[in-house]
Amino acid sequence: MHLLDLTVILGYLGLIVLVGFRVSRGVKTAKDFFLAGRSLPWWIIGLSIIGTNIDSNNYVGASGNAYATGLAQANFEWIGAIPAMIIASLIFIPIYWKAGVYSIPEYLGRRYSQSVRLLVALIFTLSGIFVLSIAMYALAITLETYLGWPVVVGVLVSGLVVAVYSISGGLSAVTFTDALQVSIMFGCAIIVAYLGFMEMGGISEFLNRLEAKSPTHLNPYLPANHPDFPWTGVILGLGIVLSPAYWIGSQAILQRTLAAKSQWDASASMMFAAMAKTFVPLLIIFPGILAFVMEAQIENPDMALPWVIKNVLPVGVSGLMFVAIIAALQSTIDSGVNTTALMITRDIRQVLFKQSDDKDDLKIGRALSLCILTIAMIAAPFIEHLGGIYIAVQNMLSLFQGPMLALLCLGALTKFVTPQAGLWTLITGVPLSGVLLFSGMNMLFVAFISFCYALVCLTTLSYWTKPLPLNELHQLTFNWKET
Amino acid sequence: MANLVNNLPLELANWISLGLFVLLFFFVWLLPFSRVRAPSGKTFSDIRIWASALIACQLALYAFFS
Repeated sequence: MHLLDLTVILGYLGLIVLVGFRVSRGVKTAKDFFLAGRSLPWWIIGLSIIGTNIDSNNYVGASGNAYATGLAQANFEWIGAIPAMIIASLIFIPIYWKAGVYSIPEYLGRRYSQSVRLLVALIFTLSGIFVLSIAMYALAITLETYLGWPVVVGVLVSGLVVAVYSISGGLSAVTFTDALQVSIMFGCAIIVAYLGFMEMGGISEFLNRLEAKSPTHLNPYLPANHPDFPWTGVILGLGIVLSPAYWIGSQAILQRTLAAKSQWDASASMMFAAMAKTFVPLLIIFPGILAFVMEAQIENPDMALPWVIKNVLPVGVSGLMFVAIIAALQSTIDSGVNTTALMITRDIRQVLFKQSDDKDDLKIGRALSLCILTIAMIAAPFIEHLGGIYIAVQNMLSLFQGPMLALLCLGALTKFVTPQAGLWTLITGVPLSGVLLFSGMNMLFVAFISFCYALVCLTTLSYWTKPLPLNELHQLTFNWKET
Repeated sequence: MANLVNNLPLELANWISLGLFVLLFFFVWLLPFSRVRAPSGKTFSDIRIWASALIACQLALYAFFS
């Protein structure tokens, strides 16, 4: 690696620690630590949402998929995100805000029952720690690939950098550093796009070459009989179930909006994030397509992005692009640490041990952040030995999405669904998804069918069980005419 | 049934996407102003305008690449 690239990388790490540490001052209560004292403006939250959303899989995996299949990969950012983000912004975020909750499990606990809250918090926590370990491992592998650092050293350095600001500064430090990291990512994307188009002789020449080489690479959808991403599955599974479940129910994403200084800032932050999301393909799809048009000689599609960094970008800019990849991973890790600590501190501890004290919550939250980060650091080097298991586990975790979305939609938009119906829908819906998945059905269709099942189950069981009193539901459900 | 789904024409995907975004546009404007206004009350703080710009951008993308 060139000295200039190394300087850019070290400069970035120093800047992140400095910004994070500076923002860390003034954390005195659990509300400051977990919700930044409800003081954040919409644009900081919007950038932080994008930072949390983009991870290593997006950067390396999406570029690789774009190299292999083309623009269809962008659907994960467009039809697979934008409609859900608009609905989250206008319908769900105001409801969560009005309920005054810290987390999605807390909202479900108030809307259904404490059993539902505990179950959802346990699933979110386990998946959160697992995702953290994977992100930590991916970051270490990236450092090994570009800098030659052993995996253990990479895990230690990246863990320490994140620990410095996320444990002391909580959500406030996490969102400010995320915003900086996303700005770097978009800066890099613009530079890569500019250099790529210049290399090809302009945008129209680039499109002409791509069309001549493979016309299907410019199609946003793949045929209905495609084995991995059939367009029917993308619209029904991704567009109608998986994406809304993520943007309406992901604790890591929505915790930021709950930290906004007003309800309008919370809604505007998600809308701003959706605007930025429209341009995310420039970041993660374009390098893959560029490598394809430039006829990169690579062994597998996932090498598309490293090939672009090595062959298209000049010294200094390649270091900055590397920084953008580190930033994507770091923002996933710091957000995951804060979110998981929140759910253990408030949702699991409060339900199991009936304990709630603001000063204790702050101390426990900080201690848990350190523990969670340490567990993820210890587990990270073992991820590579899991082989294909971690993909299977991730699939297993996503089985939860269909029933979860049904609970959130009917719970927030209607008053008739009952606590008992919610619990049993969750208990039966997840195993049903498991059976469908193991029968060999495409994951996208599993998500759609389990969602439909959960809607029917929740509605049917609610007719035989007792709903919450109307005065309790007023603050927890959508009211069309409410001002 | 599976065979029928597997043979659906590819062009339909773009039309469905465009249709979904048009429906979303009308839905956004059904929401009352009181739900979307900022404390400042400025015109551009109405986030239905932001949503409309976003939907227009998506319609342009899917129309261009169809």
